[in-house]
Amino acid sequence: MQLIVDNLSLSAGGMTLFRGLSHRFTPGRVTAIVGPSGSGKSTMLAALAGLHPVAEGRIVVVTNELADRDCRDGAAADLATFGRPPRSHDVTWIPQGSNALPGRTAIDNVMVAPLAAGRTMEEARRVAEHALGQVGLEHRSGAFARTLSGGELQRLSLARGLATTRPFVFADEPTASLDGANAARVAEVLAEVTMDATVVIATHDDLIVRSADACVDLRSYLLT
Amino acid sequence: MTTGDWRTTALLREALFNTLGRGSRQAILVAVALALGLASALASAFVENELARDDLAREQAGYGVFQIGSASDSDDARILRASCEALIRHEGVRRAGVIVPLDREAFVQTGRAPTALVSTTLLPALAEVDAVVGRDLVVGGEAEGAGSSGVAMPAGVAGAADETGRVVGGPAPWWLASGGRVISARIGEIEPQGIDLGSVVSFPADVDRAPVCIVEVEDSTVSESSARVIASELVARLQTEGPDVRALPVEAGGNSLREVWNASPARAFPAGSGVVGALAAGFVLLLRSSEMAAYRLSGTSARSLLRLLFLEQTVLAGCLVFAAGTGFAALKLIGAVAPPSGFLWALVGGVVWLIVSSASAAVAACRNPIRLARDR
Repeated sequence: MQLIVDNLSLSAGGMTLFRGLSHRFTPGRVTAIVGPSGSGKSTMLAALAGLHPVAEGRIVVVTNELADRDCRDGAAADLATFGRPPRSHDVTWIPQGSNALPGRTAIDNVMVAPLAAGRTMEEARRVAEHALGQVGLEHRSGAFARTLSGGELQRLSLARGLATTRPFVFADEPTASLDGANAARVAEVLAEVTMDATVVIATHDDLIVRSADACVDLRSYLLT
Repeated sequence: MTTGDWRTTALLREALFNTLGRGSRQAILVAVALALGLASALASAFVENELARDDLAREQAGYGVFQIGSASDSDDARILRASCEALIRHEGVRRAGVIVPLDREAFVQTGRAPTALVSTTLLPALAEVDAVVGRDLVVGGEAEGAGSSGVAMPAGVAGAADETGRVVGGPAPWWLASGGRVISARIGEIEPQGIDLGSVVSFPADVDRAPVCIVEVEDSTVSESSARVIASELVARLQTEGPDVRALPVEAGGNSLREVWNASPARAFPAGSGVVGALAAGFVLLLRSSEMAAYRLSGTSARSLLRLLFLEQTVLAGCLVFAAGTGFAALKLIGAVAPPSGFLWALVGGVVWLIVSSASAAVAACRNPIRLARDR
């Protein structure tokens, strides 16, 4: 699944944030969205997830087959015509800070993502254990989320993102509340992990930007 | 890539962990549900105990008054007044006489009140005054105590009623004013159940026939079987026209506590406990925005989240019903009175919890997950 953004304009609170953005978010690639505070990075993630209205332009989800055929033909076929709007349950969201289930263990928190995708308990546990290992939290899998530190909670959110089988993973400032060591760890995981998912990260962090496959700089689309 | 939704077994496990699991944020709700369930059982048993005690007291009190009237629902009986009043000569009869209900009439001292024609053999005071005023109509009369001869207003003082239109008490003699006439009156005695003249202004009966004959027997503790014998004897001595008549014994006590309870909304208090539980659950749900966000932002659809919350509330409502059931079973075991209807009401309470809490669950499940995340 791919996300096609075509001539997008977004508004929030009655103000237009940016205008004329077009981009294709493809699977297996990490795209960083950068821009100054208030430029609309988080709003753009919400719009990509179908959780914020589009002021102008289109955001559509298309299948990889359709996108590949378009590329082979070399024609500027209007992919947006054949797509559908994004839906929130296409997406696993790694929020700024952490939204966790405090009364549940770390592994239970991570299992939510594969279970939400219809996996069996055994499959979900296997995937969650693997994801916890990827973020270095395997030794904390039985700990209640409420006992984890801020950095560990952020990595827990990341593990949930890694454990997803949803086609899109969106991360909103995943390193914003972390110290240098934890931020480096998160950046490392995001860079090294290979997934089928389309990963989009709204960030200020140069570390994340450098490790991303592509970058969308909202400064180019801001109204002057 | 799987794009399915939660499996039901996984949702059920999740709901159980979220409610009954160690460290659950909803542990307080489980405690509330258990407490409400137990309280329902205990309160039902307490009420049933009081009702049973009242039933027993009423049974022991027996029957003291007989109402003789038409056996037909559609036609009034026509009982010869003289034959009814003559029952007073029957052995064991204390008072007997007819009552003929009339229209309501406006009195200066009481406001509009029901009136009736009543035999002097039933209300002997009617031989001395023009009217007898039921005690319930008289505010001041209550304060004067039984046996007061005064009613309505001091002689010569028209309209000495308070702002509610009711009579203000004062020294005897008393008079009752209506439609430009002033008549002598007296407050009635407290009548036993069955002689319903407490809120009626009674005048002497001057009719030949009446629909109802009332008989009060000397022994106010007649047993049910004796009452049946007496009733048939009384009916046999009456002269009537029109439809057949029958005598219905009236229990000697006041209003049945059970009848009052069964007609009271308080009877449904276990269902009210469901509302209390659901409101508490709604409040806790407000505090769980971060958890709702965790589910939604991990790909859980609003529909699945709603199912999860519904299952959670089912577990909580089940705790209420379970506690009530356990309470009732324990009461049975120790030999206490435990009415089955009480458990049914607790069951209703559980259903009410589920219905009411489903509304707040639906609101939470359908909220924008980004906003839920920001609520933390």
